[in-house]
Amino acid sequence: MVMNYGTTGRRWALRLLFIVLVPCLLLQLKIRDDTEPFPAILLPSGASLIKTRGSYSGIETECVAEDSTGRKYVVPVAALLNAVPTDYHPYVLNAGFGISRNRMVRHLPIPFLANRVSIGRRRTPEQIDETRAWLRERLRETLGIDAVRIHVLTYEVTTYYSEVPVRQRRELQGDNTIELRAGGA
Amino acid sequence: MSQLGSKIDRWIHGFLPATAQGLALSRIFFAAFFLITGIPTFSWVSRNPPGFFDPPTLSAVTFLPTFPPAWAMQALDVFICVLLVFVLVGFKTKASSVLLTLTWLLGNSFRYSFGLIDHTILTVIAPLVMAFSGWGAAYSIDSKMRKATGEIEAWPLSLLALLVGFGFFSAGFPKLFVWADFNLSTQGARSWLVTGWYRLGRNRLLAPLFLSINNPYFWEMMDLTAVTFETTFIFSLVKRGLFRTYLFIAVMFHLANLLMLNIGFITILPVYVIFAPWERIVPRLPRGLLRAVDRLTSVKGMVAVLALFLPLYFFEDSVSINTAANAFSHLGIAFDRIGVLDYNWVLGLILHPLAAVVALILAGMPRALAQRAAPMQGTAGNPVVLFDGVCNLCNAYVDFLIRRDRRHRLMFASLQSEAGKLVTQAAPDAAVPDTFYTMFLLDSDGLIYGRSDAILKSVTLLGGWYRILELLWLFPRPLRDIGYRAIARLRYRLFGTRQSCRVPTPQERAMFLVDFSGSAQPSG
Repeated sequence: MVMNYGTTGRRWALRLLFIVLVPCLLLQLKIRDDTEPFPAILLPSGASLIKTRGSYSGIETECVAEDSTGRKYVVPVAALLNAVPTDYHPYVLNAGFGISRNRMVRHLPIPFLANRVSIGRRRTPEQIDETRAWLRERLRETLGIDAVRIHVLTYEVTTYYSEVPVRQRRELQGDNTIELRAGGA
Repeated sequence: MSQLGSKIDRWIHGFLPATAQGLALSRIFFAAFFLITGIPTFSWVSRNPPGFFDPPTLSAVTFLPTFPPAWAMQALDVFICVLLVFVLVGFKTKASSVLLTLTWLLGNSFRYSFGLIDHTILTVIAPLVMAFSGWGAAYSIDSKMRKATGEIEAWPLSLLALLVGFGFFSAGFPKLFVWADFNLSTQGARSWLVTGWYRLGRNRLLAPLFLSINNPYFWEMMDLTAVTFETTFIFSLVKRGLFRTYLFIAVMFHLANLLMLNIGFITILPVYVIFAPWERIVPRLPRGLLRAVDRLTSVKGMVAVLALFLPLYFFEDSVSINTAANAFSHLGIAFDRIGVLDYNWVLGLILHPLAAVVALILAGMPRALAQRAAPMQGTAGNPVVLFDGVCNLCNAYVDFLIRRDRRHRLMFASLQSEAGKLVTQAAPDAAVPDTFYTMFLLDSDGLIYGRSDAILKSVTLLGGWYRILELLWLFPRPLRDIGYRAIARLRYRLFGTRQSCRVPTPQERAMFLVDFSGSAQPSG
């Protein structure tokens, strides 16, 4: 076993690595406020608060498919998204399966160049139609229906946790309707 | 400037000790952990349509139009498995470790393209950092092929420690100004509990108990504890012992999170294992185990492990997506097929408490303060208890040991004797001149133990029922030593002193080491 600090150049290189690393790590904290980068040396924070006595409001989502006759069917999300790990389901639904919400394109936070350097990529109409076709096929497989649109319903669920027994109130908050026919709005 | 540079160098190269065997065993543990519990796989992402592809804007794959084709992701999966096996057996270890991190990061870039980033980065980046430590220098095909141990570097351990410290800081810093508000009407830790309970169904283990607690002081204390631990972790990097204490707390913190919030964080465990006090663990490991590890890390071993794991990929398309993505291993697939228990939950339930027990054992493990270059003469290979000869309490303890040491396993010497001086010179940090705040035990290998370690080692050497006191090794040493130090500082005031150093009676003389050269002379 050999242990030494190495040559002067190597010593300085390592010193520099450690010294430069610290501001780089701190910079990540600043960037995270806007958009979380990956990869980055960040652990989950979740600096949320609730009141000692009161209620907690959370969002629940539900999927409903609709066929050409207007008949509606509740969609089992786990079956529909059987190729996505369960933890990611809410995020896919919130994005309207990537059909109603396109990918973000951001400007790099570089002074003077902010308007000229952008990163990210929008989805093409063909990719969106491909996603529609995929969803129709999955609905055919899971529910045996030929769906023309899918509704992502969001409910605000308020839990009064300081009451005994705990009471919950569920209110429809939004209906994101997604056309599944090619070229749909 | 040069002094500052030297200090930085000392920290970079000497914050944590690196040994070839210790690094190698942590490498083997790292790779084996994932091969056994779940290999990272990513081919499942290709089963999804382009609409689902929504990578973080600041990500390596942000310029891609969609998920890569299935064949490419399958190749990535198999490549990662092969790299894990290479790291396990130490084949082209440096290159394999670097590539493992890079491919794992690439795979995760696709995995986290569904709108959520899981924070496993410290685990993923560990092989890249450790690649430069020489963790393939022992128990590896590399070492056998080169027939040399290679060079060991300690700086990657310091770098990884810095990243772990910062990781916790990044978790605690945003909470600092929100949770540490000293406002009894708002609660942070409880928000995690309530959110998890009502939104995600996290209502197992101790979650019901904590949900029933309405005391605002309790929850404010929880908030402050979590924020303090997470934000101050990075400051533990000033001292090795403090850093290891924080690691111990971290293991307990993860266990508490599992019990209270039902959130497991087992993938971080192989990173903590890298920082284990291997320099003390390796000498205690059975030689047979080390020989077996050495035999496994061979070309034959590599072929056997590859033959064991590569066929799993034939089943990849037939298991559930959660198994494919999170628990891809023999065990995970078996649980998937049986379909009764949630494998990831069971794994967390087993590994978190197991890690806590191991952390307790490591935290309580005796730590030699120093080692004498040459064994002390006249001890006949027996351990020597060195005590403050004028202290009534210390003398009473020695009387207690002498009365019960029927097999004459122990020898004794006062710290004021010539023998005592030799030991205090070898461990100057622990021995405060003239006060003798610690008792020492010099074992037959020349290792010097102090404080509560010396007490526990000496009393358990009596054998018989006193062996029950071995359980106290599970009590973390820093905490044991706090109690020891408190009594040591007050011992003269509480128990008094003698006018002169203890002189052994004729009956005791054989048990006392009176002169380090071996001739029988009264001490003190």
